[in-house]
Amino acid sequence: MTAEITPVIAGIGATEFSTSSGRSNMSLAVEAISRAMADAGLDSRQIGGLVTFSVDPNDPVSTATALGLSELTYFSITPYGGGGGCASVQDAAMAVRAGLADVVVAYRAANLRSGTRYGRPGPLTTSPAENLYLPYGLVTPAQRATLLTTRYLSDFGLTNQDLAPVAVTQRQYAATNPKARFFKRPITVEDHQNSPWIVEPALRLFDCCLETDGGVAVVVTRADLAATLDCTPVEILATARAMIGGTGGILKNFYRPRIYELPETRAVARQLFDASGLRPSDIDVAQFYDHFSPFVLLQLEAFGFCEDGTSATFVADGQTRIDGRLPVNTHGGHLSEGYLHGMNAITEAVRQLTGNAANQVDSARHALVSSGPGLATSGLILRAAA
Amino acid sequence: MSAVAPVETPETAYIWAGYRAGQLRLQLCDGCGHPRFLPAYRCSACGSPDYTTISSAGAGHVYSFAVTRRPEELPLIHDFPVIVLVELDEGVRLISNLVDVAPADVQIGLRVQAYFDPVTAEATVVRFRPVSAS
Ligand SMILES: [Zn+2]
Repeated sequence: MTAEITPVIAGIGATEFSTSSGRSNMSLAVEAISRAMADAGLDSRQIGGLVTFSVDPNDPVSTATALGLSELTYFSITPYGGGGGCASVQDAAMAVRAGLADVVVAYRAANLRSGTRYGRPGPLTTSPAENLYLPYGLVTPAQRATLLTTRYLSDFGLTNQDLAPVAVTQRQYAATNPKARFFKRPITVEDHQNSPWIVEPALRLFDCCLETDGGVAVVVTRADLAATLDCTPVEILATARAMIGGTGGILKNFYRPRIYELPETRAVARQLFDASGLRPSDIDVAQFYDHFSPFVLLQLEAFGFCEDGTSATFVADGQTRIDGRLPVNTHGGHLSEGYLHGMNAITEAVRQLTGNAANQVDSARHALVSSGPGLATSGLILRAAA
Repeated sequence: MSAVAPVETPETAYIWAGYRAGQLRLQLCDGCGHPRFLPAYRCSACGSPDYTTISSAGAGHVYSFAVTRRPEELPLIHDFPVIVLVELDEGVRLISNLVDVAPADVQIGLRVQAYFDPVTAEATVVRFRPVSAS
């Protein structure tokens, strides 16, 4: 009987995060992947598989060409934009566990600010649901997120001001993270309340993520191979993905009994805790996908860290700060470090578990990472090496 | 920019034809009576493939809403800044615009009534007004 293969993250890499890289999407991908492979103590020519997720302009074939690779035995593109980030690592881990490739890199790289912007209306589509929204001007992610958030705030007697502690806490993390776009630039609750409305009554400017140019990559390999390398591996303890029918697509879950319940995220949470044998109280640090600040609150509830409707108080009480019960988005998150569709959240979780974070959580052993909520989504629980 | 014409598809053509005829059409499951607004080939409640198309009375309330402020160049933002998710009395929700009300006065629970707005020679959309103003 063969011993089971344990997949680990052996290295991470990223480019600078900026508003205008002045470089091609592909050069960002190559830099991020090369840095990640070097971090793992591997040569780039040892890559056996490449995985990205949808809306990345650098598909595996062109990326393999740019990296000078000759033969790949695994490749895929996981779907649903920001919902597919952790799923790309899940794909890589499944490929390694199945023996399809020994070294698989999950990556994402794009000029998401100076190039095609996510926060603007997408191309016209003829999907059955989409053409029922477009004639009413429902075209941006911020508008769609507001429809969920408005109802959430109303049901629990909250207002936009209750979102301010999320933004302020994450800005504080970014202020001490040299990689963050908002390094040394903290904000106050008053700054949040003075920032312009994007969509009333839910989202102000400081509730929205930062469209960012950059690239991020994660090297997944076998634990036994990683043990021979000059690297500090992190175990991929549990992976999950989930989708729920009855919706019209990304952030268009308008037809559920409770619009803000995030059933996909709850299904990911259930799988991750079942597979790992852990409970929310075992998690030391969490990186929640924060395209918009209210989704930090909704995920604290969906993952079982807070009762429904209580997460705003949890954050306002400081429980997501570095000395709180559950430090959250310790790099500044998408709101303040940069928005690379969840891949920078995965690398922050790895830094926390290897003791290399700018805002280090003392003896962090288990980290939770989520991908974009409000759509088909995915998640990870990572564990520090024993 | 004041109008974005709908793109009809095989699944939604009956909805757009309904608006042109002054009807807000829903699908009602023949198996269990579950209503739906998003077209589907099978009922999410009981799995039945059979349904009857009915015309809603067009009365409902604001389930949620969004008032777009940025970016200002978005289609419809100046003419129709209030996007509403209406819950019809028949028990389904749909996206539309709410008119004849100041954005600051929009509230969850506000009673609304559908009307039909021909935006081009070919296309008509459904919009809503507060009941008190209709
Ligand atoms: Zn039925």
